[in-house]
Amino acid sequence: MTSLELTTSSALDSIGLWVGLAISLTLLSLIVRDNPFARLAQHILVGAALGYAAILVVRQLLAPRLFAPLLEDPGANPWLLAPLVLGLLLWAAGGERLIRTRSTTGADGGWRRLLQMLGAAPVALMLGVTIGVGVTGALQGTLLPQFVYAADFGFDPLASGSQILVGLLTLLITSGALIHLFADAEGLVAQQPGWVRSALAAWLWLGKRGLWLAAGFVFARLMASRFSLLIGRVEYLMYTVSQSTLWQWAESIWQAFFG
Amino acid sequence: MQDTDQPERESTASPYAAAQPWLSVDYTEAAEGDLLTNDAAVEESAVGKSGAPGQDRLVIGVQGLLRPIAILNRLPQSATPDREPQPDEPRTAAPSSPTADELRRLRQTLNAEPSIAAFDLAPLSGRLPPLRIAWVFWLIGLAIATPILLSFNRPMGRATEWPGVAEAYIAIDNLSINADVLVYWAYDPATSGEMDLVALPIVRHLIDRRCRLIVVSPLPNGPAVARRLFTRAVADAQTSSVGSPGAGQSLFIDGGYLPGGASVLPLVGQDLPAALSPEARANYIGPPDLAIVLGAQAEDVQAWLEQVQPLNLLPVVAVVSAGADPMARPYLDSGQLRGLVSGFDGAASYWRLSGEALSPPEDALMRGQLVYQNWGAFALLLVLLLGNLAALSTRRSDP
Repeated sequence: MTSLELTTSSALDSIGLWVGLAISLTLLSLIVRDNPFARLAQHILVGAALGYAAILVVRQLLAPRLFAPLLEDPGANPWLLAPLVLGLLLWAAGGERLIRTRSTTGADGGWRRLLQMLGAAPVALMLGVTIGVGVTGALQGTLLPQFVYAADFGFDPLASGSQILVGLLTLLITSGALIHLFADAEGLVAQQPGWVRSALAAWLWLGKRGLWLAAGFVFARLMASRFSLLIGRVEYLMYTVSQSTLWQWAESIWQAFFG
Repeated sequence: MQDTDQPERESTASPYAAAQPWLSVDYTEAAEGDLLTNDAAVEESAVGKSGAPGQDRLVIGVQGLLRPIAILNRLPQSATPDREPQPDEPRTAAPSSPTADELRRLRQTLNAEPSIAAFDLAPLSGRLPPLRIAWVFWLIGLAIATPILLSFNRPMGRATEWPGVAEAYIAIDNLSINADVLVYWAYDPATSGEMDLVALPIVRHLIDRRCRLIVVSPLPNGPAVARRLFTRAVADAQTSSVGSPGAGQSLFIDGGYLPGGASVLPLVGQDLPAALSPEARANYIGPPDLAIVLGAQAEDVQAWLEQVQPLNLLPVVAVVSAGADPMARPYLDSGQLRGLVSGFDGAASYWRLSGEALSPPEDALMRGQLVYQNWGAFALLLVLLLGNLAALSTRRSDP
C-alpha cells in the first residue's frame, strides 16, 4: 500500500471509531430518557442496515440470478419471467399505494383497483408458501419427533424407578401448565365434584409452579446473554476511547491537575 | 348516554343505574316503540340456575355497547308505517341511511375501549412502591462497567458445564481431515458481542481439523460477520502456541445470503448447490459431513431442524446464545441435535475440552467474561432481594 492509502485507511479507521463511539453512547443514553440523538442513532442504524441489505440483494441475488440470465438469453430460462413479473407487480402496487393521495370522495379508479388486485397475487403466493412450509416443518421437525421422544421416555417398560418418576412428573407438569394456560382453571375446578376438586387444584398448582420455574430459567439465561452483550459493548467503548485521543487528553489533564 | 323518553327507575345495586338504566340487573323495559326492549328481553331470557333474571348471565354490561346501533336504526314514531300520526304531532322526515362520516364514527365508537360514565374512581388503598427501572439498569450497568474499568480479575469461578458441549466437541473432533461442514450463520453484528465469543472455539476447532466451511446465512450481513470471525480465528490460531500451520482463507467458502427466511431452507435441504452463490457452487465437491447452526435465537435452530434436517439427514450441532438455550435444549434431549453449545459458559467449557492454549486476547476475553458475569449476577441478585423486601414491607403496611 502506498503512504496515501495507508494514511487514508488509518483516517477512515479513526473516523469509524469515533462514529461508533458516538452512536454507542447515544443509544445507551436511552437508559436515561428518549432523546433526539438516540432517535437519530436508531435511524442511522436502521437506514445503514437496510441500505446494505438492498445493495447486497441487488448485487448478489437479482443481478446474477435474475437480470443477467434474462438479458443474456431470455429464451433459455423462460421460467425466470415469473418472479420478474410478480416482483414488478408487487413493486407497482406497493409504490402506487405509497405515492397516491387519498381522495375523500368517490371510489378508487378502475386501474387502481386492478393494480391492487394484481399486486395481491404475489403477496398471496408468499403467504401461502410461508404458511405451508411452516406447518409442514412444525409437524415433521418439532411436533412428531418431540412427541415420539416423550412417549419413548415415559413408557419404556425397562426404565428405572427414577426415570419413571421423572416421566410422570414431566407429564403432570406439562399437562398442568397447558390446562392452566388455555382453560379457565377456577371455573374448571368449581364445576367438579368435591373429591375431584382437590386433585384438580393440586394438578393445576403444580402446572402453575412449573411455569414459574420455566420462566425463571429462561430469565436467568436471558440475563446471561444480555450481560455478555453489555460486557462486549463496554469493552468496545473502552477500546475505542483508548485508541482515540480522548484518553490522552484525559491523561494530560489528570497529570496537569494531580501530577 | 341517557334516553330521555325512558321512565325513571330506582337504582338497586348499581351506583350509575340512574345514568344508564340498562346496566341494572333487573332492567325490564317494555316501553312502546323502544327498540332497546329487544336487547333487554334477550338479556332477561338468560336466566341462570338461581332463577333470578340476569344473575347468572355469562356476559354482562354489553347493553350499552349495542346502543349506537339501536339509535341509528331507531325510526321516529311518526315514521312507523302501522301507526297513524296524531294531528298535534310534528311531522318528521324519514331518516336517511347513515353517511360515511357517521359510519366512521360508529366504527370508532365500537372499536374504542368502553368508558364508564359518572363513575367515581376510588383512590388506591396503600402506597405502591415506584418501579424505578432506570435505577435497576444503572445498578447492573455499574456492576459490570466498574470491574471492566478497574480490571478486576475476581471472582472468576468455573463455568457451568451444560449437557451437549462434550457431544458437540466429539462430533467435530470425529470429522475427517478436510471434511466439508455446512455452517448456517444466523447472527449479525447486533448479537456478535456474545455470539462471536461462543462461535470462536468451534471455528478454531474446525480450522484445526482443516475443515472447509460452507457458510450460508439468512441475514444480509451474516456472511461478512462470518468472514470477520474466521479471519480472527485464523490469526489467533497462528499466534497461539498450538497453531494449525497452513490454515488460511481457502477453508472459508462464502455460500452467500439466503433470502426468504425459512421458506428457502427446504431448497438447502433438497439441493444445496442450487442455494449457494455461483462462487461457492464452483467450489462445491460433495455433500457435507456435518451441519453447524450458529444462531442468536432458538427460532433459527428450530427452522433448520424443521426444514433442512429431515431432508438431508445431516447431523446438526447448534451453537446458540444463552438466551436461546432453554428453547433449543429439548431438541438435544430428543436426539435431533448432536450437540449444543450455548452462552459464555458453553464457550468456556468447549475451550477446556479442546485443551488448547489460548492466545493472550482469547484468554483475556474468556477470563473477563467469567469475572464480569459474576459481578452482573451479584447485582441482579441484589436487585431481586431488594425488590422482594420492598414488596414484603409494602404488603405489611397495607391495612
